[in-house]
Amino acid sequence: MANIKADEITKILREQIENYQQTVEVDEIGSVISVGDGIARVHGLEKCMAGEMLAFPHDVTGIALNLEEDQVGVVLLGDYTQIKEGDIVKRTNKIMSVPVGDALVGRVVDPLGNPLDDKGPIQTDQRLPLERLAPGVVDRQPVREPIQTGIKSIDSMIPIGRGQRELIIGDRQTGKTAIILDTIINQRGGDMICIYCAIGQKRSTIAQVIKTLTDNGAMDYTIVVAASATEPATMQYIAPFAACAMGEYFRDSKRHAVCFYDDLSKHAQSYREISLLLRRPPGREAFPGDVFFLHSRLLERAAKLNDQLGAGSLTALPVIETQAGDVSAYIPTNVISITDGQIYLEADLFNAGIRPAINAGISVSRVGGNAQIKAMRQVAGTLRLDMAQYRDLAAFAQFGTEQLDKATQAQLARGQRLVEVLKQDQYQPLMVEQQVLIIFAASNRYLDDIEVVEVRRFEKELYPFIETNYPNVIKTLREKKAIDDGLRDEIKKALDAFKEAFKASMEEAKADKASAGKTAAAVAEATPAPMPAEKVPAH
Amino acid sequence: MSAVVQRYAAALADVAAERKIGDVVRRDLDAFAETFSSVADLRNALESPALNAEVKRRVIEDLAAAMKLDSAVRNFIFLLVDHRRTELLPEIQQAFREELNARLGIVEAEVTSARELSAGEKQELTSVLEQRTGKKIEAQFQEDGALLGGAIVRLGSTIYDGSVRDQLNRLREQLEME
Repeated sequence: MANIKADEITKILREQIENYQQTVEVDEIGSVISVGDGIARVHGLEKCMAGEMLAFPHDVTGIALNLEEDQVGVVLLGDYTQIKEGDIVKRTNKIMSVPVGDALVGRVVDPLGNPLDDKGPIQTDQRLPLERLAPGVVDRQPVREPIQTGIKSIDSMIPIGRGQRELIIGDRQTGKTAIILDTIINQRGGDMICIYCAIGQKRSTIAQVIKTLTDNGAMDYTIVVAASATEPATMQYIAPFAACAMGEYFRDSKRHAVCFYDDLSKHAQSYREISLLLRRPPGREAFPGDVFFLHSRLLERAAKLNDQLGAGSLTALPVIETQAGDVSAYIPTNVISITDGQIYLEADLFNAGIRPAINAGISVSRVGGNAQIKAMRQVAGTLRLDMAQYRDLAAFAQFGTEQLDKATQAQLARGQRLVEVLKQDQYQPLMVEQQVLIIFAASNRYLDDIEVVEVRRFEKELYPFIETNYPNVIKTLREKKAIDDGLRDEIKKALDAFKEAFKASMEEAKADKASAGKTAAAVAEATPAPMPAEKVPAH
Repeated sequence: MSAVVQRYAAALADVAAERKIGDVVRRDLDAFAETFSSVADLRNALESPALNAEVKRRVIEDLAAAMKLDSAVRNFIFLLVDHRRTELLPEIQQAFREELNARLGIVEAEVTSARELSAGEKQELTSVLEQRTGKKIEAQFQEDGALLGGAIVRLGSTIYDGSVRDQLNRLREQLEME
């Protein structure tokens, strides 16, 4: 507006005056019967389409959700307090859509695509509808490339492929958002566009997430779509669909995107609110009958397209918050059955210091295994089994291990070390090559004679050691993506060398400790340090 | 407009169309509605649960005879009183008119213009609208100085806006966009 030239205005005015006779605007209108709670009932609008955008006075937009015999039920977006009975409502002949494109990357927007950050207007003229049919069977191909989360326990045991839908489920404060943030941070330097959709969260939490992403340089390839708890239910309801539409743009332009819906429990609640206000009949837990379809049509849009369509992908990582670990509530069971697997986080594990608090026993990934790189498949093959056996034994051996036979004791010791290996600090995603190394070490008995409390230090010192002394190992691993005999020997050589150095340093530390006596420092070293995970913004 | 109103209106229109007395029924219904809304005693009598149906029936019969109402309208009023739907009368009246118009291919148009139109202009506008819709137009004219110039025609839920006010509004929107 500011930089428009005077002669441009004159030109527009002249055109308008010249065409004056031809421009009779034809509108279809209705009038507001009643309004309240973000819902308006409108009389008229006989030819209105389902999901059509309607223009109300004062620049308020609405979406027609209920088409009835003599009226239309409309949900209002924006400040509906100014709408009153008798107001004129116009049809726009447009289905609800959001701006999409590369201009959105690095931005924080609301579900209508309006910027919420201070980086000015979004320069894009492309729009995609909120609701679109998911790609059909012929348009797809099986998931084949991995999306690396940088989290050892996920990438090894619950691998996620591009185009997959993997649910992250757990109680409040179990690190669900932490997994998402780590995954986003780990995409740095890659070809993945991340879309984080916050639904019904506190504004302070959203601000915290954005700050974390900015501090870690992750906003350069991330879009944040935010509908906070203070927004009307309508905004929260359309937020994941808007995020999905933005992701579909990348999927359809032969690129890769991943959508995080944080979280869909709140989304279901906002949809319940809207449905009840529109007087749709309530069903189980007062959710409307189509709440399953609501989530399935959203998550179905995640896909790996076939090669003719450019082989782009849209991955969906929805989040569900359970109440006191109850996964058999309505919404959790729905979303579990829609997705291709779930990552189950447990409060007990979290409190026991196992973070990320992933329960490897009931977490699954139904399709991601095909997408894992071969090297990871090779080293992680026995990991799940070992962990499962360890869990059985650990429950059994809770009251003492003295009477157990040697083999069992060895298995227990192994399990304890594996649990240690799978622990990981927040905001410290690892490259897949590093993950392969440490898991290789664990499954090839390199850790069996290392004290449990020393395992994490072993891991921490291993990476820089390999990088400086054996850079070839990492390089070959990255190129071949598989472990052949030559590489295996090389890795073993590197690990042998490191272990020797590590053992020497361990002896030294022991000698130091013995001489210094039981100082407070030694105690502090032996106890696992509190993790930054406690500062995680929980949802 | 509720479904109940539509059903009563449609039923009355059926009877009127069958006996080809649409205009008579419409006139008589309007006349009765006018009386009913203006005479409070009549309204009280017919809506009161204290009076039995027989008394109400006699009141309506006498009234119909005095007002020379058609038998179809009289019977319709019996029905409304029996079903205690008299409060819907104004809406039924409106729905009946629309229903009848729809059956006869008549569309009601509401024309708002900035100044009073001459008879010739009204005639011209009506014939243009008739050509456009392919139906007979029954137009009501009114003035509104706020339009500044031009006219707005409303046909059912469709609006043809050719007013200067709207043109200016759109020009402003266009300029704000750029």
